[in-house]
Amino acid sequence: MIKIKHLSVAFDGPEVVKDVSFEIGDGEILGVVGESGSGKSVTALTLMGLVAETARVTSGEIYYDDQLLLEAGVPRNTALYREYQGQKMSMVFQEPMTSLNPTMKVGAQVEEVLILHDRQGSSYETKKEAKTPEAKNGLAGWHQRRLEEKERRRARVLGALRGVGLRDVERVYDCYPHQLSGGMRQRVMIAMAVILHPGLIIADEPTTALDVTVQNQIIDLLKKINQEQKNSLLFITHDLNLARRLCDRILVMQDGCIVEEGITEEIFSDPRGDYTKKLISAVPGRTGKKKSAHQKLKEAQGKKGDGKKQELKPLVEVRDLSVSYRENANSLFGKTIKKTVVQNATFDLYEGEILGLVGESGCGKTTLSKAILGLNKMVEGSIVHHSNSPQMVFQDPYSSLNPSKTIGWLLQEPLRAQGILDPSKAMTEKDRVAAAYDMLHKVGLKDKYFTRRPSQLSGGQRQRISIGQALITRPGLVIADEPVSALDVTIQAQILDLIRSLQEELKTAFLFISHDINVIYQVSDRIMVMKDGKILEIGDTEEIFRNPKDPYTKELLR
Amino acid sequence: MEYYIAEGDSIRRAGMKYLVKKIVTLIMTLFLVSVLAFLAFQIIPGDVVTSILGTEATPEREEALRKELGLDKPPVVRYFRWAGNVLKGDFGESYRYSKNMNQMMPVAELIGDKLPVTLLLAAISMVLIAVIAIPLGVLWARTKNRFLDVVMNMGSQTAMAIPSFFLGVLVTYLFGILLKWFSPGGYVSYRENFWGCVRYLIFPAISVAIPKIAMTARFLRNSMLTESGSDYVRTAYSKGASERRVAYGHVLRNAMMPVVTFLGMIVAEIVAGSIVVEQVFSLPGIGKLLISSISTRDFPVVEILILYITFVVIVVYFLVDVLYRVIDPRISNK
Amino acid sequence: MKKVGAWFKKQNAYFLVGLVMTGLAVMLGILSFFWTPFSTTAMSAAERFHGPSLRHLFGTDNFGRDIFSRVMQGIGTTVIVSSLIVVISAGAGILIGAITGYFGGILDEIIMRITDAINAFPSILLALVVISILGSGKQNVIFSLGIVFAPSYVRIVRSEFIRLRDADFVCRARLMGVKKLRILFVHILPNIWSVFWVSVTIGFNNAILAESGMSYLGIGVQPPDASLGKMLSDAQGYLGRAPWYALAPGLTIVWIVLGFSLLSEGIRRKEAGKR
Repeated sequence: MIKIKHLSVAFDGPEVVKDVSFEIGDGEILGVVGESGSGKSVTALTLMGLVAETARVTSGEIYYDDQLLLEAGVPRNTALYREYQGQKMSMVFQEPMTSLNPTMKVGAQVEEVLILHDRQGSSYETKKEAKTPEAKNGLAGWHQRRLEEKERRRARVLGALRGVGLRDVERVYDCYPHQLSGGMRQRVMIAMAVILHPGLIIADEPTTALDVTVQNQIIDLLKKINQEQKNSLLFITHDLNLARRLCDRILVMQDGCIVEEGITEEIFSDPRGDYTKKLISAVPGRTGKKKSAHQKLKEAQGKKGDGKKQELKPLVEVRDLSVSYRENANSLFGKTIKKTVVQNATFDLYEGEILGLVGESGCGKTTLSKAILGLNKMVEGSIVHHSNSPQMVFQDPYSSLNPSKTIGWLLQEPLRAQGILDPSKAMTEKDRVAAAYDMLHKVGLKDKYFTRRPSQLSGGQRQRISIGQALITRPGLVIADEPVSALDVTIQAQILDLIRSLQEELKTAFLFISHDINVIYQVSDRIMVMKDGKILEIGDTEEIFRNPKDPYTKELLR
Repeated sequence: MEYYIAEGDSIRRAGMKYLVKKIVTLIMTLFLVSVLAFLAFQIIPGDVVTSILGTEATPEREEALRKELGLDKPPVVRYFRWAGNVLKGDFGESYRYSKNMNQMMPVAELIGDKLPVTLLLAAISMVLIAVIAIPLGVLWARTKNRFLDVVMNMGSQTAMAIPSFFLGVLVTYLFGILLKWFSPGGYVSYRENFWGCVRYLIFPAISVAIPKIAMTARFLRNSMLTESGSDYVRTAYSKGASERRVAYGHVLRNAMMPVVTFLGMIVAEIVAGSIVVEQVFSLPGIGKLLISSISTRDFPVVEILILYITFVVIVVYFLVDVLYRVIDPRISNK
Repeated sequence: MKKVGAWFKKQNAYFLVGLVMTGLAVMLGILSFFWTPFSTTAMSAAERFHGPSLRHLFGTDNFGRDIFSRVMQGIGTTVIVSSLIVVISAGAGILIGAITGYFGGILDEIIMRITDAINAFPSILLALVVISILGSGKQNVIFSLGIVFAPSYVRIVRSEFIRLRDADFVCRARLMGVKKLRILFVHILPNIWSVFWVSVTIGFNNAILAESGMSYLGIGVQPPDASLGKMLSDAQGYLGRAPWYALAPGLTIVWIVLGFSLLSEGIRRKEAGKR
């Protein structure tokens, strides 16, 4: 149905999509998998006619049902494309928060698709109306018809909204996007994409910005629509597991090229390309075999006999901890509302272990971690610390390093600060530099990075520096808040390896926070599951995976 | 199932709460400004009494005048008396201008018909800015012609660099002396001939408006370009919308939001610009009175003028704030 | 020399043109303190209202004085006055903005209320208030405009500090045990320079425009100090007869202001390119 032949696309520099050819069959779900910068999104946007004007199609052509849509060297036929966009093919984007116009009501935005393709969309209905005996003439009649048309459009929009599983659609129709949750917005986007029953739907990372449970619902919805409307789906993702769950066939892209293509199960059972193998092994899945520091530690423990765990010294003891915020705290008269984010948390964190904390966004995991560090003011309950100066590693590699300093300066700063606080630990300039170089090597970077600035480093390298900066004073505890969530899968795997090996070497305890239970599984000794501010269960990693008690944990593990 | 829709009722309640809060802030700012305006003239080096009577006067006469002017009371008492009088519409009397032999000129009378001239000038300028800058900004944002873009850029940079009084001189020279479209100094009172007055005021208004037009057009253009990169614009294209429809139906509306605030923010500058430009065109507005009162240290007049102008500016800020809230649906839920 | 050449190649056109324009003006202004082509006070009845010529680049005025020399002196005054205004207002802005922005709390609330109230006054009006209290003259212009422009720097610096005080790298510096003052001035401050320099160049513009406006109104810099604004108001009466008399100081102001605008645009683009 869709044929892409030898497509190459370049922006100012080199080609980002190189000689890509593939076909999408009727009713097929095709997955395109790759890391950021692999050219998967550019390919989709080119197919959809949405790629930026600075992009040049340097070779190849695109056919839709044997109609030539795009050809290298010929400017994009925007009039032709406008016929196709929205009507014969449509797109669902990654960011549900920003993909809807914030100042337009949701209903009107869905309705716009109908208005834009009105001629074809409602033609048969107009004919029907002409047959009715009391067809009105004149201005009043015209106005009447306009109203009726509007009413019909509204009904169709409401139908589409209902079709994507939204409830109370009358009210959703009159909502502005910011009044809806992320999942609901993505449903609206899908309604917009399917309302005219296009032959092709392109979904570009439609679930990446959503929580796991919502993610599952959206995937189910896309599957359902595909079965009901029999349209083709081009599903773009970085997440191999998702592609596996949804797609009939998978393309793997790397650096603008297709490196592997095949039926989903074949790719997983028998990957041919090296990159595909790497990708599959890098996926923090429960399938991948792992042999990590903590397992060895455990085995060693196991040899010492059962029950030894209790004798491990707790580093942090949290008892009945509740953390709350004041809302509207700076308003003049507004009553301040106390909003509890963490409720009655009780747990211990032992020396030298990695404790994984898993939960969806807004479940209170970050708040809990900040409370442990003493960064929250409104705290009830008790936290007993036996560790000195715990450090933190954040999710965003771009904001966690001071952009105006060099890497060397950054690595030395914790030592300088330590020296000022405690003169007995003060170091000479020479020792500090040596220690900084030592840490630079430990996190796997070369000497030349010492004088660079954070802006000259990649995301993964910055995260290495962050980890090094956190560990250089040898703290007893490091809290890592989603340290790999902003990174590509292969980089993710490297950083997780680094954390494991450093943890083994330095015996630092980690509280490792993530929304991704597979990542947690890979690094943690024990797991703590959180939802809506409450800790649902704590237990050894293997035990929780084998035998989850809480229904929410089961949903996460799906 | 995830489910969150703000209740209409709670939005309305939040709106009322916001309005009440805003009004309270407005009143507090007005109060603070009046205190500042009043206090500023209490710390003046040099005595008003000496400056009125000269250094030759006897201590008794000085004492008498001081009592007459109410200067013997403590500042707090004097502030509340003054503020109370202002609220009642009694703006006090000038130190300098006399009405007749034994009475000084009330400030209210002095300001009387001068204020409308200044406000009219500011209003015409504002209209010019809104009417010209917005289409210009849209045109600029939508142009693909590189040459036009450069011309607009240089033009706006230059226009922003011209001080309004020099612009007034240029306008006088060009339209008054070379083209003779108006005769400089030939102001017609708005009481005699309103439209004649407006016709004359257009030229000073142009002088006030040109730099602000450049600023606003530039601001709108940048705002539109920023919005054009948004995800929702891509969504609109993916529905098959034409470039024109995206620009006017989606981008402009969102891009206008910050422009509204921006327009509100330059109100203060327009009023200030009007005061200066009045001098260039010798308009009988409050600018001239203000400058001469400052030179002659006629403080009651200065106080009231400052208070008046500031009140206008603050109230405009307030209205813009409320307007912004009305037109931007996002804020009501934040 | 090679280094200079390499440096020039790295700059953008806005920055270079702005630098040349402002540099030329500043140099002329400083030169005027030592030398001017003609004495600025020497009158010559024979040379009244001469148009621009090689002898008198900008022509002569109603007293036969050389306008170019007088413009040079005017630039000199403007440069000195506006520099001092910027130093006062930006210095106060950094100090107050950094502390209120980082610590917040009641002090912040109070200072913000005051800057809000000050901002409600149109800037020139506020300067007029201060002038009317202190009297006119160079020092008072500097002082009053210094106060008037300080709140805008406070706002900019404060909002930058608010933006950065919760940044991840600052949070981590706190966890490392870095002292507060060190966080303020070693960790955060270097990150706001780009924003700060842009606002300083814009601040020069505002200072120049306000100073010349006040001088034009006759309540700014007083004779014998030369001033472009005052010249312009003197020249206005002879607009029909000697338009160059008004154009010379007016266009000079435009030249300087435009120069600083381009400079600030250049810095902005340079910083934007870095990210």
